[in-house]
Amino acid sequence: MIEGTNLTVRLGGRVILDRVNCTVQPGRVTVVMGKNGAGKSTLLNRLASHEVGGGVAGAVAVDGQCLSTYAPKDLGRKRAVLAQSVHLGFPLSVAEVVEIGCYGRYDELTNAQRWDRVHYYLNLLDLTDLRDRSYPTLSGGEQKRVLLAKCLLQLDDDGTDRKTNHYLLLDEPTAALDVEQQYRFVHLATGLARERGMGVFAVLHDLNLAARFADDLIFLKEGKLVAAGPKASVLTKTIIRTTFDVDCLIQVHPCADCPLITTLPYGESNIAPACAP
Amino acid sequence: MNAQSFVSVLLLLLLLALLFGGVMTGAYELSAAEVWRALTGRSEELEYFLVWQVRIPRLLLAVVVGAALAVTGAATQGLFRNPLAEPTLIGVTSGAMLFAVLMLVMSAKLLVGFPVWLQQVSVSLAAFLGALLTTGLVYRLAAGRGRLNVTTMLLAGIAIAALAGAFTGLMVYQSTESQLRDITFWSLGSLGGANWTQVAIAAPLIIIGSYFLRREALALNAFLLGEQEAVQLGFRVDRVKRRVIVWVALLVGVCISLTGLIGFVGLIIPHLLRLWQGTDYRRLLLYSGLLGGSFLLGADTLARTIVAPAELPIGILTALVGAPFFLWLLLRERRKNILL
Repeated sequence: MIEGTNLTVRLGGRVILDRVNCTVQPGRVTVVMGKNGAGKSTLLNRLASHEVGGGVAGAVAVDGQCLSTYAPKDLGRKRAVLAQSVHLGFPLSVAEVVEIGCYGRYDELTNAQRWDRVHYYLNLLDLTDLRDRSYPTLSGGEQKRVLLAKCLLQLDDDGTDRKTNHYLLLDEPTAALDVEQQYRFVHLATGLARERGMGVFAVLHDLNLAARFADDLIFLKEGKLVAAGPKASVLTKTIIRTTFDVDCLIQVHPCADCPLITTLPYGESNIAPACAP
Repeated sequence: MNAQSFVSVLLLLLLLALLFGGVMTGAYELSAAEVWRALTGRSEELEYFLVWQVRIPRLLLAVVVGAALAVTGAATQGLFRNPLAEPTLIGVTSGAMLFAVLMLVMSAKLLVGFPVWLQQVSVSLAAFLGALLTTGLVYRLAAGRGRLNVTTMLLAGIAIAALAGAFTGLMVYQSTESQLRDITFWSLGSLGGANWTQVAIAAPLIIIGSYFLRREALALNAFLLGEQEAVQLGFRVDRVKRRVIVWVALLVGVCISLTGLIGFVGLIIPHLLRLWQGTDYRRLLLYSGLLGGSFLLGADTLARTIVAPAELPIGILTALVGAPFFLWLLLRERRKNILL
């Protein structure tokens, strides 16, 4: 479990995160939501032990051990961060980008073992045909799949029977993807992570993506926690209104086993009584 | 044989061929048989001296300096994630230039009565010291609270280079006609004074430095995805940056102090290899060393033959040969729509 306690980040006199408590459970998908500038990415960076700039307070424990006491290499094998966007300084091939995932244990693997693992993940994410393509020439969706393959390889145990938890942190994984790719990617990432018992922490903007794929939700507003907990208990009109300042309808999804949320940003609920919640 | 060893052998063969060709050519031409006799110690005094004391040290110096410039160029581009980056950017060149010019202008007064060799050594030492001091200063400016910001370092490097350039200009303004000539030639680079002592100083440092830079290949690959990416993989990026900068400053410092300024090698060789063999630093640094050595060796052989018995400054040639070739390569790749 990743456990953040009283997480606070101050940057130039502004409080970006204000005493936020949150947890990421192994085998569950936790999605954080909030307006732009609510502190979502800062929270992710704080949980990932990235530099956030400014003053920080509070503590993060990963599986009971304080984050700052981890050796960077060990932490790199425990959690992987899928960045919002990656621009290569110079072009690498798809296989070379994925291979970077196992750099943390480069010395422990032979060349053959390393490429075996790389090819396993290329195959798993349907990238085998693209393996020699230059990464910058891929479409947005393909690039995201390459980065996911890299992250999964980073957390791979190479077939050994290590009993350790892994965490996958996704920073706005759907940014710059089209509608179909958004669903496909979140479905793929959360599905593969669940199969492997990983804990997932994701920053998402789309309420319906969150409603469909999350187990737990965290709502942030201006750096403060609005609500956190299992989807069923926190996905309510009141919490959404407090977080986003919009009204909404919450209905049963006609085809999937999850709620369907329709936002009413122009206050349609007042104009058209038929829509009134 | 895998692709990496195949390319390495190819580049090594090129280097050996150029070495042998370099021993044969020059103001005094030698046949292959004469070279062979001299190498095996069965030739006349003059040829033996020419081969062992003049040509071979010069060729070897060209190889190690070329290798060092190409390897440090590749490493700097990786560190700054910038295709235009060169060791110049961390202040190493401008500092060396300033101190060398300072010594060239002052040595007439300071070292009057001392033998000429001491004056030459003093210029080299001053350049080396200048290279390390300026790099240290730029590093200090960019490293706050234990974190090194590469963008700040880049900008600080440019500012310090401009400042050093201004002081260099002041010294040039003060200099006499003959000093001005010395300064100009020094700034164009030359391998003319090569001897075994210089090889003995440069070669071990460059071989060790290149080995340690190549050990950072994985980190430099991870840097391609961004600094944060390298952090989350588990690299201690600040240590990586410090190690790379220290080795780059040492290697470029020793090169400049022995040969003056030789531009363009650090830019063209890594880019040429990236277009040909890809960016992966495990290969790129190795190939850069081999091809950089060959390139400078070839350029130096040209420099001392085309206007024989005089010599062209090598800095002119590396740019004259390198720039058009590089442009041709760029245009060709642009047509193939591959981003550099």
